[in-house]
Amino acid sequence: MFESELTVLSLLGIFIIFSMGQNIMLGYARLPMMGFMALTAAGAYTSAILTAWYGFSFWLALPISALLGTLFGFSISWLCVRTKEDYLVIVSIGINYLVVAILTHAPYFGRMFGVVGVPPPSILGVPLKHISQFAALVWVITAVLIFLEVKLEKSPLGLALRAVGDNEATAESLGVNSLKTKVLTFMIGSAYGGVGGSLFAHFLRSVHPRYFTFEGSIEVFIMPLFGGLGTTVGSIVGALFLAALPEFLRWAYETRFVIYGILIVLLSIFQPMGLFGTDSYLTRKLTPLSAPLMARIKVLRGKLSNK
Amino acid sequence: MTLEQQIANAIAISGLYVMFAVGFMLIYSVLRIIHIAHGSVIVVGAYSNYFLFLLTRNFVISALISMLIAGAAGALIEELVYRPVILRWGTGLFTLVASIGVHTFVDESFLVIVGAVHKGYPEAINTITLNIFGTEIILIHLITVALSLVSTLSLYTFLMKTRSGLALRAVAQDLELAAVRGINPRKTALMAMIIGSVFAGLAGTLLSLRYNWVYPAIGDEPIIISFAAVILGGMGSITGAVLASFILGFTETFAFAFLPVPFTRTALGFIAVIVTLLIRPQGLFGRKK
Repeated sequence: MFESELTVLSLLGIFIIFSMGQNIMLGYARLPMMGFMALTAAGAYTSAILTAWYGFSFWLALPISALLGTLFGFSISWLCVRTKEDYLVIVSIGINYLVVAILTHAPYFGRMFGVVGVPPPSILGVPLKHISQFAALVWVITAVLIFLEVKLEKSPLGLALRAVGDNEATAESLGVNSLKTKVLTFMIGSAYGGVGGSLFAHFLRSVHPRYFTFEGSIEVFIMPLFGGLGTTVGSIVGALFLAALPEFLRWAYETRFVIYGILIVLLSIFQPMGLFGTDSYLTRKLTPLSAPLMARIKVLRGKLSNK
Repeated sequence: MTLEQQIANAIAISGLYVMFAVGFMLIYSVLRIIHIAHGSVIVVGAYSNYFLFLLTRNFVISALISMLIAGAAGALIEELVYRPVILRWGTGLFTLVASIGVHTFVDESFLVIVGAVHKGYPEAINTITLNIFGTEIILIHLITVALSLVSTLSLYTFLMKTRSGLALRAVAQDLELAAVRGINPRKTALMAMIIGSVFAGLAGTLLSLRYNWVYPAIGDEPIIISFAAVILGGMGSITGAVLASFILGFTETFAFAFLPVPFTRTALGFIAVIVTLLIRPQGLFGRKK
């Protein structure tokens, strides 16, 4: 029952992870990384190879994927961070193409056949065979990652990231090491990519170079921009909206991507910070509405902490 | 294939890359926009040529009109999309996003209207060959090289000898100073977009003739190649863009002929770009800022 809905739901969770990872790089530190799928591929292939070929369990493969994703992000960050903004775009596109080329041609990665036979993740020896169980797993992990990103948003590191994104020179003058911060941004974003990629591999039960092309990267690149740049809510909304849009526009069949293109153009003209970004129309309208509620929450919190 | 033929092939593909790169370079250095939709203008050029050829059965007329259509498409993109974004939010991330939007819109529209099938010209002219000094040369390759030589040289003369060209170069160097000296940045940007798009239209036409097909994603590879060539050659330098196109064309042809691994041309281009950025971040002919 509800299998197609649950499939979409799991995919949405995975896309939210991608979108948040992209948001950390693009939204906070304003690094236009356009090859997010390369980072995802690192996590997905690690997970797929470890579980399908070496019999690792999902719970061991997931942190290893995150770690390898982070390492991959670190190793490309020194190339990406040194260059100017425009050059970062081309370098990251290039890395995406190179990764896909390597995955397609290297014998170890199964060439164009990819890695197949990824087993379903299991909890306490019970494999999660049904999609509903998998969807639940995805959403638990997504919830943890959302929590972490909200924490990051408020933490000193998050503030440093934003400062560097807003104005690098000013951030430097206030004692923020911008190079180090940018590299850290890359690593955190890549960790999200690695976790998301690992889930992606288990969701599809196989990995294939075709899943990690530049077109997918563009889609992920647009997500946080659409929902609201530099906010966790925005990246979630963007992922939900853009990943679910094709499902809602089924009736429009092929035209839906035309609509998608028009939406992006309109957005960049009228609301470039996204639907729920800083100073967007919706944020301005919603903030006064939610103000009493937020005040209430503040009071409650104060009471709780006083006790 | 003999070495001479490989060299002839390399020159032919480089000629095509020059056309991609020069148009993109002009737009990039004047507007400072990563004009991803340049690929879409190439698609517009290729399809216009295809349909106009079906109508007129004359390659000269269809190529000329498709160049005009591509120029108009460039002007439309600038006036309807880039200008509002620049006026409101300035160049940078948001113009890049707008460009991605235009690219998606145009390519998907073509996909909907004409379908994803590769369409060939009714009369394939990419099989006509000439025999020059014992080397088989395909006619369309020769035409491509000749046209790219002529058009690039005329653009170079235009930039160097006329007042409008001077304005373009001034804006490319420093927008604010140019505006202070009374150059209208808006007019200059429109001019750069039109010239660059006309180049893209001609390139799309030649690309479709070279492989004797048109399809909606025909502009995806060229945009990557032209971006790579511009980074490789350095911002705002025609010589650099031309030389970089030749480097890319020759590397690709010889790697394909002699390397045991088949590597996609875009991947090879990117290895060149990354190596260049490591050794000489401003590009081969770029000035240090």
